[in-house]
Amino acid sequence: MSRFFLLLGKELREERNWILFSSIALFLLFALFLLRSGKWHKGSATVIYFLIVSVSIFILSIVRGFGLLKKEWDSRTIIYLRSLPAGGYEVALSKFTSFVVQIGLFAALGLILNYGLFSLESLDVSGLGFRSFFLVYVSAFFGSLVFFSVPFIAYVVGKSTARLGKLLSISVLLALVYIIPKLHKFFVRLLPFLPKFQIFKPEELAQRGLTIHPSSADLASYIFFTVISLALILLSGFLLEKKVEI
Amino acid sequence: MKAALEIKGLHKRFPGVWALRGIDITLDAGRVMGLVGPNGSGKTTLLSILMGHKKPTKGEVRIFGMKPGKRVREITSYVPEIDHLYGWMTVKEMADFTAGFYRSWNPSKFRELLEFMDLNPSFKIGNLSRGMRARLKLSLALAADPKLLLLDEPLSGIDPLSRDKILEAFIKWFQFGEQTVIFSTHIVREAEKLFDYVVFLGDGEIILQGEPDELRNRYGRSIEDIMKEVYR
Amino acid sequence: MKFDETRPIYIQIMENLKSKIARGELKPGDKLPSVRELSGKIGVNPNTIARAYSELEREGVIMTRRGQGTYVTDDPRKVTEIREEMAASALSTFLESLRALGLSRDEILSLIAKNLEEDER
Repeated sequence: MSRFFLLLGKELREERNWILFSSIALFLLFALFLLRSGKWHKGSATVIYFLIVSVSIFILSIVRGFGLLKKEWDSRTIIYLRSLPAGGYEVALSKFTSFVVQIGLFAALGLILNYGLFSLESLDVSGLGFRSFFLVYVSAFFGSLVFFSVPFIAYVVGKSTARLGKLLSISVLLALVYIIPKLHKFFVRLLPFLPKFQIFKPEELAQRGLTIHPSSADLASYIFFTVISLALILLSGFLLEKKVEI
Repeated sequence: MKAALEIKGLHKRFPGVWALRGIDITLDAGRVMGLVGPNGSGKTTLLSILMGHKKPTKGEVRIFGMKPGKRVREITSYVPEIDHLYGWMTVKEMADFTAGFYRSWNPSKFRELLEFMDLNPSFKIGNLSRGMRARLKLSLALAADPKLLLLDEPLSGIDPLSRDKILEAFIKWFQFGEQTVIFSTHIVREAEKLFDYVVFLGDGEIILQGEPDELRNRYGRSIEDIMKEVYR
Repeated sequence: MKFDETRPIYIQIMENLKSKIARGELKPGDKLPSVRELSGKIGVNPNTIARAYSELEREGVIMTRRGQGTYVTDDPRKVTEIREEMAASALSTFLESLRALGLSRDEILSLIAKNLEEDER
């Protein structure tokens, strides 16, 4: 266990700049939004805003999913990492956990900024309840786990063959993108008793004069995203130990 | 006592080329094995397989009775030829990070080594010269007090002073008779007196192996000259 | 210590110690460095040094006292024997090279006598 924490500590120190960079980017995004939002309709401003945040969280996840191992390969530190008495799964899990911390911070920061901004009466955006904001960010957080682990395992698979690694990597990526939504639906149907949350309550929307689709989030999906991500990460760890050549 | 190293019929194929074609080595614990041969003869591939970084295509490998993997890495330190340390860390950070992984880590030995090597703990690794990084790599490996030490070309491509320091540090801190080492090199002259076993590798095969004094006696030449002879 | 890497190192270590004894640099009963000490000093694998020591012990040149270390034999006859042995070996190499030059027995003798005289002057 202590080995895992050593690796995690190293990851977090190494990611300091990324965390800082992504936070600054988020601030800039808000600044831009503030400048532009006055011209938009209330409802569409909110939707555009949530879209920007979710998309940036997902893009960050994909970039880190490929990047956290790629940087080790590029700097050849993968040789150091794999010479230490730590298993492949410890390496994979520490990277995943460091990402979870990173994206958790990012989402929390986004939520605070977002809610704070949207509560300002003087701004003509919207006035949704904290709960709506919270659910949007929580959903983005859990979704990001999958957006991270899919490219992560695709990268590892690509490294486990001497030939045609890139092709294999892309194939795995496409296969997972195809199969995971299907598994997701299946899994959610298996657990109908788990609670669903309305992100935007229709009555609240009507009251504010907003026209947003009253989307919902559900616990089953959160569980599914967590489980499938952990499974992919552990599988990556196994491949890293048994198949990947460096 | 289990042999430190047992390799039987080891083959390794890379796309389009056999890097190792039938390696057999048995090495007792406590030996200093020189693994000599020109670049591209398969030395690095062999060491990578021992670390589990590369997988054998065919054949058996046992290190103290164990297959390459995490348990082997617990008792093995590997010093590759390339720079594999984290450039963003300082010497001290690198040592603290490494120390946590080894039960056998010896902090006072590391301090002595740093002083001997003229390495300042607050130096950033990315700013060190090649020779200094080579010194640090060996210091980290020795301070972990491993049962097996794998040195891949520790003397090549570095300044003469660093080369001397590395040889001296090895002689001073390596526990002959207790620790086992595989010392891969194509620069034989400086190191040949240290070996008590030599394996000549050429084109993925063992050309010659034996105790250096027996080979000197048999050929009437130095190991370096025997090497030049067999690789002609 | 300089080595000729074309000859077995353990033999050179034996020769080196014997010549130190013959010259009186090492006296009967003197303590020798341990295998590890000597190894660190001359940068030679300890197994090689241990082999030299055990060969020397077999020849009766040195002896190991359990738990105390390795010593030069305190038998003075052994020292004489080593000196004679080394002198004989040096002489035979010397004579061989002179004979290879085609010098006769008398020529060799007069050359030696002449050289010794010059040295004494």
